[in-house]
Amino acid sequence: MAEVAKLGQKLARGAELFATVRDEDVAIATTPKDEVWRQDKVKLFHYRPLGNVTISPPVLIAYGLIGRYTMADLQEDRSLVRNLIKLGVDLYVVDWGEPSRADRWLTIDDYVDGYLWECVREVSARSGGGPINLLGICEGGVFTLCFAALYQKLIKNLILTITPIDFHGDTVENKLGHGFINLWTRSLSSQDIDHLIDAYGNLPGEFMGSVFSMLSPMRTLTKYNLDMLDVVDDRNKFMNFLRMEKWLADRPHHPGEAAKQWLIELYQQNKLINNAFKLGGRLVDLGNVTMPTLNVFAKDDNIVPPATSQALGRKIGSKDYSELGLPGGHVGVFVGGKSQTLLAPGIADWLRQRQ
Amino acid sequence: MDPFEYMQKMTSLWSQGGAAMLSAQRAMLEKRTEQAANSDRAEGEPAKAALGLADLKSAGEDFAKAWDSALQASKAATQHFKDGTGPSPFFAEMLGKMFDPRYWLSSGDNMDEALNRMAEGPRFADLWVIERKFSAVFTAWTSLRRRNLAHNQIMLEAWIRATEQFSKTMAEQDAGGAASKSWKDMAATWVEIANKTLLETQRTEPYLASQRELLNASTALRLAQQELTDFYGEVFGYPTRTELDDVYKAVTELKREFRAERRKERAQRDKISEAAARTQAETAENTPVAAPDAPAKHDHA
Repeated sequence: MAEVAKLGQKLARGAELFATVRDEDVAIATTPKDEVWRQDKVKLFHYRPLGNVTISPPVLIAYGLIGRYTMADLQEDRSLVRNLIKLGVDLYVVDWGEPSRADRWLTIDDYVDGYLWECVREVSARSGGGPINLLGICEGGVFTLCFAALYQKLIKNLILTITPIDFHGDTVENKLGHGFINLWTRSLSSQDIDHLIDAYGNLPGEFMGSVFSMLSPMRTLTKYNLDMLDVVDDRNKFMNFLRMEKWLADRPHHPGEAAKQWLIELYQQNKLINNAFKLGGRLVDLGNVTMPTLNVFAKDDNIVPPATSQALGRKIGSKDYSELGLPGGHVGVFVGGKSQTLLAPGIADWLRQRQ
Repeated sequence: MDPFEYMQKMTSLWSQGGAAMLSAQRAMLEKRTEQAANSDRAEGEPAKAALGLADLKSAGEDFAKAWDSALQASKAATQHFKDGTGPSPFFAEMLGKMFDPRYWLSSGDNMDEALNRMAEGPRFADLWVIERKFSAVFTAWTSLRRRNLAHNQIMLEAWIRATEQFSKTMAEQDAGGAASKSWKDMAATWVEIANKTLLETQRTEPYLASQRELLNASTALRLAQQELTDFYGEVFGYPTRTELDDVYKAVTELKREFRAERRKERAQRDKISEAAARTQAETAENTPVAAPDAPAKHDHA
């Protein structure tokens, strides 16, 4: 009886919260920034400093085309962006925009050789003209790694986070629930992927969302009943839940030709780790990544299993290569409570030693 | 009647009918133009264009009369020839065709036929094309439904396995004398077991094969739908998905070329600036600096 009464109380408080919270209350990516450059749908933002800048040169964050960079600035107390700025980093971020079917012919070459090159140049020009620091997240990590291999002189230090390098590395640990995307992609033929992209023009955001949902099937089913029941009577926890949902709901489409390269050449053919991936007609040779590199991975990452990331150590040309394995999952390593004292300080300290 | 007289008669009928039709059309268009110019309308309101349906109807009636007469004449001629009082039956039939206005309209003018087709849309010859496309959509849809059912069956088997495992676990706990659990603990146990079962199922060959077939069936349906909409788009003059994709491709390629050119230009400018800066630096290095306070030399003659 007591349990039933407690549940009733919880539900009543939850109903009240639901009635009062509006969409505009659920704000993410609130760290102030200014747009400093734009081309097509791509925008470059410069974060306003929250204190003195003590680490140079600036750091440019590049997210991937699946999901949006706003995860790195989810809320004030769970924000890699805010933490880095407080630690003295001069920070920029590139937003790839909202690709539509009109962008279906964009390739990874366009993003790396084109847009990212322009962004790096712009950040460099705004900070004295020398090489800058690059920080890539997930697919953005692959972009920044390729960039560093092709344009070594433009990059001072490279930081990769939750970045897949060996796309068949999921078979190393073979942990249940880990690496399903790798397995699922390999079960398709390249023709299946071609037809999918030809039918939709792009890799639809909602499609990738449904694939991610399959990674934790029961979590997906119980999220809006059991999980929400846990937080529905606590405003802070409820708002955290809603902010995460807001980020998850923002699923831009992945430009079609770039998606074909991503799924076929990387996920299926695993060209990156084998130094067989070409961009702009040039081979991406990981041996040409010679600048200091920090490779951050999540120990319990079911989307990018650690082995797929750590494989970089075998092929990178840099003599200053470090790894940082953090507790948590793919997204948890950015937004988890414990990560706030680990990720940004780990990156900032590493950069400080290499100024 | 002499065949050549028949020919003359029909030619004359055609000419009269055709002239009547053209004259009626011209009158209709003139009237429409006049009405458009004189229409009283408020500022910004579109002109009230009279459809001229009455004129069109009248022109159509004139044409119909001419056509009817031509057909009658053609029938009479053909009958006359078949009666055997004129040329042989073979030639009679051939002449009959030559005198049939329907052949005059339909044969020998491919341009006219093409223009009619483009303007009027599907004709009887195209009907089966449309039906084939609809059939392809329906086939793709039923295939998708079938794949859905097959996949649901795999999932159902997984759920049954999870339920069996959950029951077994609960029974073992009860048999072991464990304290009765709250609904929350039971839910947590169920979630854990079901999650594990589903994750194991995901890695099996039947699941992956079924997923693949489901994806392909969905894609096939989408492509069949697209083909149908492209077909109607072409018929009615709307831009099709395929055409738009071509435009996007051209634009993307142009942007690439433009970016490459701009980068070359920038590199060139940077090179020039660097060279200029280097020259300036070298010049500054090689220019001797005058010693401070050196007395001026005078020539004492």
